[in-house]
Amino acid sequence: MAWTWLTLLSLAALLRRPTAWRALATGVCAAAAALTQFFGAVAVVVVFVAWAGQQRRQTLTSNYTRWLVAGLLLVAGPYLLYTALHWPDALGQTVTIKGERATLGLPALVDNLGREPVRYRAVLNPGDAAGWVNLAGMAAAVVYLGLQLGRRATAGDRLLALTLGATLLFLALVDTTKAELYALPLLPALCVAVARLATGLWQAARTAPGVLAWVTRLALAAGFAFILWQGALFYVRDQLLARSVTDYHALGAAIEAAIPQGAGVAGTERWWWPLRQHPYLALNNLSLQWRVRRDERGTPPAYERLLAETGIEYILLNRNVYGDLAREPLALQEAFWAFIATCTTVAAEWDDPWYGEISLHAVGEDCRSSSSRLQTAFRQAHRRCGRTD
Amino acid sequence: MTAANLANYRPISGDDIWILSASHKLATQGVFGSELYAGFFNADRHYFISLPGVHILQAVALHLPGNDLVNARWVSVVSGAVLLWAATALAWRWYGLAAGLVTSLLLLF
Repeated sequence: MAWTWLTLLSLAALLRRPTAWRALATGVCAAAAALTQFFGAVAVVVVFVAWAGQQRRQTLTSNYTRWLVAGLLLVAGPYLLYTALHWPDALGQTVTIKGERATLGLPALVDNLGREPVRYRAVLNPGDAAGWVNLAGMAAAVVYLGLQLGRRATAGDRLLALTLGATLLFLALVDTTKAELYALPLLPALCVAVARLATGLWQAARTAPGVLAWVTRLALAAGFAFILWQGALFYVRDQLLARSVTDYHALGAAIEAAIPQGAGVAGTERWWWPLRQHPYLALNNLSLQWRVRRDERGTPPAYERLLAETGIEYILLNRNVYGDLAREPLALQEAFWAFIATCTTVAAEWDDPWYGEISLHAVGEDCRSSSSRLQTAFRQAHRRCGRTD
Repeated sequence: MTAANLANYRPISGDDIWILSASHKLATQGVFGSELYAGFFNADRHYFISLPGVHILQAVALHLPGNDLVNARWVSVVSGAVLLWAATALAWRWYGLAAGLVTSLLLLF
C-alpha cells in the first residue's frame, strides 16, 4: 500500500507538471507496488488510465510515456527475466497454489463478483455501532465524491475516484479469497474521501443559516470524536495485550529443547524461526506436493509414503495445522491423520494462552525412510552455501 | 506505540515466518527461496510463492543491527509510516491543510 500511495503522490505531481524524473519515479513506484502485493497491480492501472486520460492522443508519442515505461521496466524487468529463466518452477508453483482459485472465464468472474459482499460481512455486523458509523461516513464520502465528479471535479477528485474504483473492481474480480484483510487497500482512499467530505461540509456550514451551521458542525465534531474515541480504546487494548503476550522466542526455545540436534521436523510455518537449525518442512508444502502428484497421476498418492520419503523425525502440530488441513481434500486429511495415529507417538506437549495447544510427535523408526531426501538436500545446501547466522 | 514489544506482538503468525523464511535465505545466502518449501518445484532455490517486494526490503532490514525478527517487522512499521505521510500529503495538496490533518487522524485512529 505504501508503494501504491507513493505512486499516487508521484503521479499527481506528474499530471500537474510533467518532467522526465517524475515520469521515471512514477513508473518505478508503480512497478514496486505491483511486485509487493497482488493488489499493487492497481497502481499500474491507475497510472496508465490517468496518464492516457490527460495526454489522450499524445500518450503513445510522448517522451514522458517512455520515461514512465522505463521506470516500470527498471524495477519489473529483472523479475520478469528471473521468472522467464525459471519458467517451469514459476508455472508449477503458481498453478498449484493459485490454480484451484483462479478466476478464468466469464462465469468464474461473475461468480467471484457475486461473492464480493462476503468480504464486508464483518463491517455489516448489525451489533457493531462503530462499524455502522464508519460505514455511513464512508458511504456519504463516496456519494459526495461521485457528485463532485459530475459537477466540478478537481484533479484530486478524479485520481481519488479512479484509485477507489480500480481497487474495488480489482478486489471484486480478481481476489477469490474474499478475505476481509484485503479490503485494507481501500482504507487510505476512503479516509481521504471522508476528510474531503468533512472539510467540505465544514466550509459549507459557514454560509448556511445559523441553526443549520451549528447542527452540521456539531454532527461533524461528534462523529469525529466518536472515531477518535474508538481508535484510542483500540490503542489502549492493544497496549495491554502487547504486555501480556507470550514470549515467542522463549516458547520456541522450549520446543527446540525437546528435539534432538539435527533432527528433521515438519510442522506449521510459525515455528520455523526458532527451529531453523533443524531441517524443517512446512506441512503445507507436503500438502502441495500431494496435490501435484495427484494431478500428475490422476489418483491420490499415498501421503504416508510422501511423508516418510522426507525422513522427517518429528511432526509439530498446532491449530494452524488443523486449520490448514481442513481446507485440503478429504483423502489427504484422512491419510495425514492415519499417519499420525499409526506412525507417531507424542514426545512433548505445550498449552499456551496465545499460541494454543502444541504437540510434538516423534515418527517411529518403521515409518522413516533411510534415504532421507530432506536431510540430504539440507546438508548439501549447508555445504554449498555455509551458514552465515 | 505500534512498535512496542514488536518481537512478540502482534503474535507471530505462520505468514510472518513463511515470508521471513524466504527473506532470511535471501539475506544470508543470496538465494531467493525458502527451505520450508524444499521439494515443491524448487521453491527452495527459485521462489514464486509470493512477490519479491517485501522479501527484498526484509532482506535489507536483516542486515541492519538488532534482533532479526524485529528488524523484519520494522519493514511493516516503516511502510505504514510512509503510507500515512503519502496519503496526508496528497489530501493536503488536493483539499487543503485541514483535509490533510483529518486524513492522518482517520488513518491513525
